[in-house]
Amino acid sequence: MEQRATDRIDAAASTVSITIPADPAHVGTVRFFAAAVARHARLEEELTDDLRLAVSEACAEAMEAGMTGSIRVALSLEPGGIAVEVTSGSTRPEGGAPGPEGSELVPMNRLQLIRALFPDAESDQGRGTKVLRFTARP
Amino acid sequence: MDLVLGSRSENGWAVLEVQGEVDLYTSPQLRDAILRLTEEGENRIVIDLNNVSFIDSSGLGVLVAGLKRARERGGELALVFGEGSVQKVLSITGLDKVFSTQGSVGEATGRT
Repeated sequence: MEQRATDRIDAAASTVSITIPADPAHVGTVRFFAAAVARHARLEEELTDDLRLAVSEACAEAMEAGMTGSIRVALSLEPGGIAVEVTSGSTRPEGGAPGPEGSELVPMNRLQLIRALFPDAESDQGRGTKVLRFTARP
Repeated sequence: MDLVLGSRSENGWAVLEVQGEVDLYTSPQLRDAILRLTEEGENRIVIDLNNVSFIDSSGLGVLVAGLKRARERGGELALVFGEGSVQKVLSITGLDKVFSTQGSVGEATGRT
């Protein structure tokens, strides 16, 4: 059965979410989705670019950490910004996958890069679940 | 979503033109293109990122690996990009100080 990205709008809570399979081919879809939400929230272009980068890094980081289940990206519209929560689960028994060639040569890991963009970024990992949260705000 | 990659020679340099978004999914294509150039004996490489609309740390890793490979062969790998998201992510990671960067391919190859 073909895996598809699904999205849902919860109008009462102003939260929009998308769920993708843990497949790198779908990370671009998340960026497109985040940009659309940012445009709706009238975020500035540079902040939108930062948001796209951060969600892309978050999804890639979840996949490299061994998350094999779905990855849910929820964007909650708040005054002046967007609260982001990236939830992934179902760790691979053998653990995470190595990053792409050269990734160890980049001075920052993905979470450090997200924190450089959005300093309140926090990552929690429990039994089979990983959650990353940050707020995109000027 | 695929990258569009093109290569040509200019003033003794191999110029790799990249168009699209470079992420976890597409960065292997960029890696393979750089690898092909070095295996063909090219060790002076310019990567034109002016038409790259997005790059994350997956892409940065590929670029750094390419730089390392070129330097191991006594060569160089330079980047060309304008102001925007590419410049910002290189600046945030400090990699703008690692690469030779130019504003145009002509400047990078010494043609202008």
